[in-house]
Formats: sequence, C-alpha cells, structure tokens
Amino acid sequence: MLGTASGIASSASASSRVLSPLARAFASPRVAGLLFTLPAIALVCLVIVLPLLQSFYFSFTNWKGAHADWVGIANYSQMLADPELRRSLINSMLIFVSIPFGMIGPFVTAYLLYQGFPGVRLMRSLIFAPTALSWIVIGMVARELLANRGPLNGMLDAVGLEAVSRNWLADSSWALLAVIIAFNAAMWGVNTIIFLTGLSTIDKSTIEAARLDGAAGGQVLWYIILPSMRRFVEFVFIITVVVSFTGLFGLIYVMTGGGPGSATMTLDFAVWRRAFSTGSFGTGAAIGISLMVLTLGCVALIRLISGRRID
Amino acid sequence: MVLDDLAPSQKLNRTTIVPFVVVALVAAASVAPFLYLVTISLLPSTTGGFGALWGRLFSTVPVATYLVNSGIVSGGATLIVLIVSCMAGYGFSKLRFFGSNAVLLAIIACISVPLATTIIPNYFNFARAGGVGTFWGPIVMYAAGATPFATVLMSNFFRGIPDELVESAVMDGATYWQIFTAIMARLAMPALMTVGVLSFLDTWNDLLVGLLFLPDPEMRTISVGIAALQGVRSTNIEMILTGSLLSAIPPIIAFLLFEKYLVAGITAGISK
Repeated sequence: MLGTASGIASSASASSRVLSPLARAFASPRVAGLLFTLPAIALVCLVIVLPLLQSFYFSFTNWKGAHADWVGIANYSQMLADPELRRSLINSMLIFVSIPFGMIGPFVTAYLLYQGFPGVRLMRSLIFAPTALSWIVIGMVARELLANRGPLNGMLDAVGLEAVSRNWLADSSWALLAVIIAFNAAMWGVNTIIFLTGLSTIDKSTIEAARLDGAAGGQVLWYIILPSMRRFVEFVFIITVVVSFTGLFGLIYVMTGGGPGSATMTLDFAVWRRAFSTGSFGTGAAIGISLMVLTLGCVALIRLISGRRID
Repeated sequence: MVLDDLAPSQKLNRTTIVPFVVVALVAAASVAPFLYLVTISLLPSTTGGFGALWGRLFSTVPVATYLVNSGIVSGGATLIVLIVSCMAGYGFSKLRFFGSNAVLLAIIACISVPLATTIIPNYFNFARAGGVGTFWGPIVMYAAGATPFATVLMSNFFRGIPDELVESAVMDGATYWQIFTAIMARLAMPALMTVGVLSFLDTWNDLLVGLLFLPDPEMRTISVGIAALQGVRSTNIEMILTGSLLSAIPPIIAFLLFEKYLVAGITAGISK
C-alpha cells in the first residue's frame, strides 16, 4: 500500500516539473502546514472568535442597533430582576434537572438491545432514526398531538377522562412539561445509540466469567456494566445538557413560541426574542454570554460529579 | 467502537422475549410520529380526497423553491466544511508548525461557543458585508459553525495515518499539496463521509440562521418556509404537517444511506 501511494505521488510530481510560487511555498512542511490550516483558522476567527469578542463588548452597552453607549454591568444586573429572563433561566435549569431522568429510558433500551434477539439491528435503526428529524418537525408533531382537538385529548375523552383533557400548550405549567417531555423523547434515539456503543466496548469475557462465578443479572449490571459505562453516561449527560441549553430554539419556536407568556422560554430563545424581536441587542448579547458561561459551568459540574479531572 | 458486532441474533425464548417486546414498543414509538405524518398527509381532508394535500401543498406554497434553496445552502456549507476541515486536519496532524497545537486547541475550544452567543454580532457583520439576503451569507455561517468539530474529527483521523506515508512520498519528490490530493484526501473518505452527513443534517435542519439571514420569502429554506406557514391563516394544520414531512425526506434519505457514518460522528466526541 505504501508503494502504491508513493507511486501515485511520484507520477504526480513528474507531471509538474515547473513549480509555481505557491507550489514552492508548499515545499516547506511548516509553511505548508500553515497554508493548509489557514482557511479553517480564518473561518473560525471571523465567524466565531471575533463575534464572541464583539458580543462580550456589546453586553456592556445599551446597543439598540444605531449606537452603543457603555452601561457597565447593567445588562447583567438587570437580568435577574427581569421576570421574563428569570423565567427563562429557571426553565433552562428545570430542563437540566429533567435530563438524568430522561437518560433512564435510553439506557434501559440500550441494555435490552445489547442482550440480542431477532430483529435487533432493524430496531436499533428505527430507534435511532428520529435523530435525522429537525426540531421543526418534532415541534410540529408534538404541538399537533397536544392540540385542543388533537389525538391525546381525543384518547382521553374516549376512555372517559374528559376531566383530564385540556389545551395542554395553553396552560403555562403543562406547556413547560410538554416541552421537557418532547425534548427528552427526541433525544431518546441518539442517547440509546451512544449507550449501546458504550456497552459494546465492554469485554464480554468479563461478564461471562462473572456469570460462571454465579453472579446474578442485577449484580453483573451493577458491578461490571455500570462502572465501565461511566464515561458514556457522562458524555450523554453533557451533550444532552448542551443541546438543551443551546439548541432548543427551533423546537420552542414552533411548539409554543415561548408562551403562553414566557412560560416556555429558554435562554437561547430569549436571545432571539430580545435582540431580533425587540431590538435590545445589548441585553441579547448579555444573555448570550451568560448562556455560554452557564453551559460551561454545568459541563464542568457534571465532570466534577462524575469524579474526573476537568481538562 | 463498531456497532456491527451486536450480539448475534438469538432465537426468541423465555429470556429474550421480554427485551424483544419492550424494545419493539420503543421502536414503534420512535417511528409513530413519522407514520402519523404520512397518514395525515395522505388521508382525505377538508380540501380534497386521498393524497390531495400533496398537490395543494405544491400548488399553493413554493415548497419546490424552498427545497432547492435548502439544497443550495446545505450543499454549499457541507462542501466548504469538507474541504476546509480535510485540509486543516492534514495540516494540524502531519505538517506541524510553530504554535499549531495551540491553534488546534483554540479551535477545539470554539466547539463550546453556542450559536446564540455569536448570532447578534454575526448578523450585523454579515449585513455590513452584504451577506444577509444572499445564499453565501448563511453558507459561510453554517460552514464556520461546523468547522471546529469537523477539524478535530479530521485531525484525529489523520493522526492515525503513519507519518512514514508522507515522508516516503516526499522522498519520491511529491509536494505536500500533491500528497494531500493524491493520497490523504482519498484515504480520508470514511471520515469525510462522517463530517459530510453531520454537516448536512445540521444545516438542513437549522432554523435560526435561515430565519435571520434569508428575509426574502423567495429565498427561504424549507425549515423556515414550513415554520412560517404556522402564521398564515389560510393554511390548515394538515398541510403544515405535510410540509414538515416533505422537509424531513432528504434528512431521512441521508440517514438511511449514511447511518453508520452518523454513529461514528456522534460517538467521536467521547473523551478517552
């Protein structure tokens, strides 16, 4: 294989005896390395690093589109006093708290898939498939299922539970619960696949040995499988938290629009609402920066709890 | 971490029947929303008979244009990410220069910068550069957003390729550019598939950037176009659901074709 590869390379070099200035620059490994990485560096600097610094600066101003005056930490200090933003923060934290519970289903699903039975591959694909759907589609379906004259209320009425049925998304506490359930349900598939990947890394002979020594299924799960799944549990927790903090805009936009009132607003939705619907770009920037700090803080906390060095 | 070595399919017996039934129920629940959308879109509704919703959707909403727009935006962004991350991955792992490790670490750190944190300045920067209301604006935006993770993925891939391969090609007189196009980019095909499918799904399925960067109704992506139908009084809910099913067809096809690459991409972030 090495021979073929260098063969290709030498025939390529033979065809271009006269080197252009750019080709000569590519001759030094260091210069070539810089040139190869330059497009990525430029893209990241212009669209991530620079805007991050700008956002940080604007979060200390009262920028409303035309001119920005320095207001110090006013945007930050007012955040907790603002009922809508306080609500958004509480909602983000409630979703955070829901995630460990939401991880149980995927873990059990992965564990059962791991046991092996006919049709296991097909079922794995079907469970993973909703990962391809956008939050728009998921939000539309959830909204329709919970609509006033939707299937859920229809079923409740059919079994004589008319008293329970309601306009779920118009009721502020139920609406948030509905968003939380829709979010965790949508993450079920991808989290199952990650847990399954983790289970497949466990050495089967260890489990066999424990079984032969008379360990019960529960003991094997508790003493062998769970400890070796630690980093996968941590990984699922972290990515689910990050998605819930930073990626729920689309779901909330179509499912509830943040309402009723601000009952289902999260911080990433609040950035959009403040900046692009009310024009308070300074406040929006401050929410965006707080969101990033909060996300990094929660990720660090999860790593701390799972007893690993933060790196 | 290959998923293909799942436990060999055992026969259904007393110990496997319970897992089988429980998982089958989960699988059924996973496809239920999809089947629900298919049923709604085909059933006769207030507007016509069997399948009439699809006809009405295409005749009253410019969904064909939306699909083309989404194709342009996600195709363009994916192409840029593939080229940029493949080059950068090769550079960072095989052609180290002064400070290259520090730069790679900085790019890794950029993975944790949320879109919501940078979207406001980005919007104004792109507006000033003339990128709002054009396709190149969102294409560059999406490409940049996907670049950090893709670069890390490609760097990890190239690190697994022996340095001797580059060295022997240099001995034979090849330039680094030739080594890249003739050897490296070809070897990287599986990793590029992963980067491509992740980037395509993220871009196709996003709402926020499309909503802000493509204000002209003619230029809407399918996600934005479908979300916008909600506000239109004359469209009924069945048609909106049919539209969202339509928007999901390309991602579902991508999923069916590239499932294993998607799994590889999602689990690539697990720290050792």
